[in-house]
Amino acid sequence: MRLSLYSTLFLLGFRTELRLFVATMIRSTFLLLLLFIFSRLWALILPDGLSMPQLLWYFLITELIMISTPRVYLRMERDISDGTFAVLIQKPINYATTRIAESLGVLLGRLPSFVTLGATGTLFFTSEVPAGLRSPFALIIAFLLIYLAASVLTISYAIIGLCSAFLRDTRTLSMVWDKGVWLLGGLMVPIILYPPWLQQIAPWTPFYYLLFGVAQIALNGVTVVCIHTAIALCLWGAFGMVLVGLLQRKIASDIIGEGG
Amino acid sequence: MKNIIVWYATLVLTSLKSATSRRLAFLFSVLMMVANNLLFFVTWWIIYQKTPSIGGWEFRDVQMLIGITTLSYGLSVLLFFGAGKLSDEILDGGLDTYLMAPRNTMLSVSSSKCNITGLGDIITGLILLGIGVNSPTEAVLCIFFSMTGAFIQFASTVLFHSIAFWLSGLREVSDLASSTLLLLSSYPGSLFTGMVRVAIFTIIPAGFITTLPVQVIRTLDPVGAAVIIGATVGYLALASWVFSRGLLRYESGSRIDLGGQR
Repeated sequence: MRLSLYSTLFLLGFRTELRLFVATMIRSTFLLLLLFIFSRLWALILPDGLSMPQLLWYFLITELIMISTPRVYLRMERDISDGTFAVLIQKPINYATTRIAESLGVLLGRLPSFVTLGATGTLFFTSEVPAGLRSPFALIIAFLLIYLAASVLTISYAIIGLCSAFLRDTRTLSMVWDKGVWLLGGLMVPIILYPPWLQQIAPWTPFYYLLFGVAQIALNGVTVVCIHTAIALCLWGAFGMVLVGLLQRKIASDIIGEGG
Repeated sequence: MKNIIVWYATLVLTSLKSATSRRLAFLFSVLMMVANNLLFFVTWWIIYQKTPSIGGWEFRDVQMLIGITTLSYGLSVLLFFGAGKLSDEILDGGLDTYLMAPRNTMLSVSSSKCNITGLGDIITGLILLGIGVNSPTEAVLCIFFSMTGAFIQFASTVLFHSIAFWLSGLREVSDLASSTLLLLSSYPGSLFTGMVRVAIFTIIPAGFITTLPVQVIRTLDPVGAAVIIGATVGYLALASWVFSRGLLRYESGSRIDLGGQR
């Protein structure tokens, strides 16, 4: 019964997102602007061993994950501050899972349009698809991995959202988290171009799998690394859900203990 | 003029006092913002490990660029954060409360909110400029251009959000334009050529916030400095004019509350 409830919320988020045409267009414009900047950057400093199409498609994949992931922490922060959370935890549903399910539906609603517009823009700037992404199989794997990574990022945003019960304002925490993803996930620069000491640190964090693990498909094509990335993402996602559960329980007990 | 400055400083200090009432949350926000900016800076450091220059821009130039961007953005959101909410106020009829006061409406709205994370930006800017500048002249110029940059950001924000006076459904476009301004200010000017270069010196004036100031600091070019000062005054005058024209079209939301911190 509960599973059907969460899947209904998932579908609701999906359908709502499909109707938000203006918001999608605006985010896509921003994505195209970023692609333009990076096409200029890589044209000026193309590193040895990598081609311009590889780097731009790599950047498209990392940016798609970042830009399409719904900022669920904003909604959760609002729920906690206006008392909605206190009301919803008394219902026979799991509050955090509800919000995550909605966000995953939103993600599925917006991802195909971002992928289409982003890929068109990237083709405009490079006029070439890297060898590793040319088969339909590789494109499907890339789409699935992008969705999986964005789902795990959504779970991490849910953790940030729950932290608002202690911090009140999670804007800066979310910014630092995003910059962590940028840096240790290799958003702007593939991690293989990092200094060796940073290359060794990155795989010990979830950021590495969230971006680089997925986007390396533009550099090397579909390899066994994709399976490794998918498993790592599932494990980090499961760990994230455990944290979500613990945090939610702690906040709920504080609210009940302190009288709401 | 003196009266306006004293009045504005009082408004901003009141906003700041309110925003810092929760000490720990305030300190956490500021520290996180410093960390956020420094992580962005580290990404550029990594890029410069692979190349000595990006289209003639060396690492020191980018350090100065990020220093000026963060300092000017910090000043802008600390002093004029309300300007970023202008389209909301226009569309929700929120200007009523500001129009009742016998003061400049644009300044009243802009000072009505204060984003304390701007202090984190200011600290980062000062750190980066502190370790990046080579002489007292450079330091003075960096601080000065950060201030002109803050005024240009403020003027641009007012212009972008004043669209709401004429077109009601484009609230997101105003936010997008503001984000684009910050984005284009954060990258070396050598990346932008052709039409985009024209755009950063006209409709999205990021070129006057960082690109031109860094070049002026590098070459100590007095003409360039005069152009930046002229552009700052010009954008402020344009913002004030567009806002006052827009006010003529404003339709009251019939608000009767007394305003203050909302």
